[in-house]
Amino acid sequence: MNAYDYIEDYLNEELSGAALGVFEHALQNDPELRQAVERHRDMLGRLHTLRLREQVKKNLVSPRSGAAMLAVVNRRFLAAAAASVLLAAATYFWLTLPPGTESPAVADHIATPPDSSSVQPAPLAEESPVQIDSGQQTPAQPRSNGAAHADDPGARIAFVEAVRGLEKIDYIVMGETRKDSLLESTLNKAIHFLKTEKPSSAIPLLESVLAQNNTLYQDDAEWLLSLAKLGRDTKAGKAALEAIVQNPAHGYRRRAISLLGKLE
Amino acid sequence: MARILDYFLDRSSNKTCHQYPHAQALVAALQREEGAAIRCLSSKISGSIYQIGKSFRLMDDDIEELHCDCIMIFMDKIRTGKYEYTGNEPATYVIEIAKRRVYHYTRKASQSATNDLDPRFDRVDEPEWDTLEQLEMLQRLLAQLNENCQKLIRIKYLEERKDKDVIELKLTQYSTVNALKNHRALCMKKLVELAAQFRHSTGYILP
Repeated sequence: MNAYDYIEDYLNEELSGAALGVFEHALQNDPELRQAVERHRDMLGRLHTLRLREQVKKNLVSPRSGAAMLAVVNRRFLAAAAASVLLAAATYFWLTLPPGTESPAVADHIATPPDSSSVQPAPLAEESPVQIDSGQQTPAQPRSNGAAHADDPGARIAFVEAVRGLEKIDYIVMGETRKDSLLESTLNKAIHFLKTEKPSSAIPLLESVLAQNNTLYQDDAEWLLSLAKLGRDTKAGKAALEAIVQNPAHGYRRRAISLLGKLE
Repeated sequence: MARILDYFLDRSSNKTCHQYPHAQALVAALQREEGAAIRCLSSKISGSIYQIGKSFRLMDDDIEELHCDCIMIFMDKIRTGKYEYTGNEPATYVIEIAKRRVYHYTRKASQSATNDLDPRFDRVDEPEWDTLEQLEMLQRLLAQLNENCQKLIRIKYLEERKDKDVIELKLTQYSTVNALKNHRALCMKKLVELAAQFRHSTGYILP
């Protein structure tokens, strides 16, 4: 038996019985054989590592798939960034509109007057009954505290629509609703007059509130006063609304712009 | 970004990693050289490896090599008992190997450019790099064998087929197991001799 021919079998544990005994005996007595066995052992170790490398390669989750994923994440990030920029730009544009202008969407809305067949305001309570004069129907002249617009139905429609949405005002100060203020009750009384279409009765009340120069009620009073003036006289109402529009900090500026648009 | 990437890749490979509920189970499976464990580990580190590679401006092919090498080094450490599980995530360990590997790679590249230092010196503190370089040498030595020897060694040690199956499937020209073993033994002897010649001629340690 040439022991060198059995090195591989020995290292692969495929030797047994007498053959194994003979080989181990030779191994003890032959330093060159021992060296050869060690070299073979190292070589088998390297071959095993090589096999391992191939196995890893076979099972690798490729970084290229990672790269693809990264690209997807990047694309999503870019899309989100683009959407954010667009949103920011739109917000900036909207906030910095010059006074008296509206965004296209609002402009479209304003450009389309309400269908007169669908919006039929009720007759004004303070409006005088139709008088017969020389066989022609002519609208009665408004009383001093009544509503007008016999010659401007658009203004009347706008006024009726605006006052229809008015609600009783509660001022909340320090988390509590104040109910004892004279100015608040005056404002609410004016609102009542407006809702019952008695703008002329509302005007002196609102002017008295404004005379107090109380900033808490100023915007509300000015807005209600402009409505009251509109209810009585279109020109005066427009002037009051334009005054509100000129004030960029006014709380009712957008509503005033919208209402002016309807009056055009 | 790498963490996000790892999260997505990890999520996509949840089925693979699901069977390894904790790090120790994964290490044990890697020791058994299970393909699923390799895939699990690979998916856990893929994003980070890509990020590391890109930060060092490696090409995609090099990144893939880096990915493969680091896992292989890690598994080799497990096999040879050089890795001791201390409760840490194996992925973190492998990523550290990758960082060191890239650093070594770039340092080696700069040394090649200046050609002022013997690259063997800086292998001293990074023995795992020997593993990779020895594998490259081994592949060159295998290529020097004749085709029959290459085939016999590949079938036995890289494909790990049993001799009996090789004969039954007639994968070689040999009709008996003994003939197959004898020829393979000769091929192995030749390979060891080539390695010895290489060692003598270069002073490089290869078995």
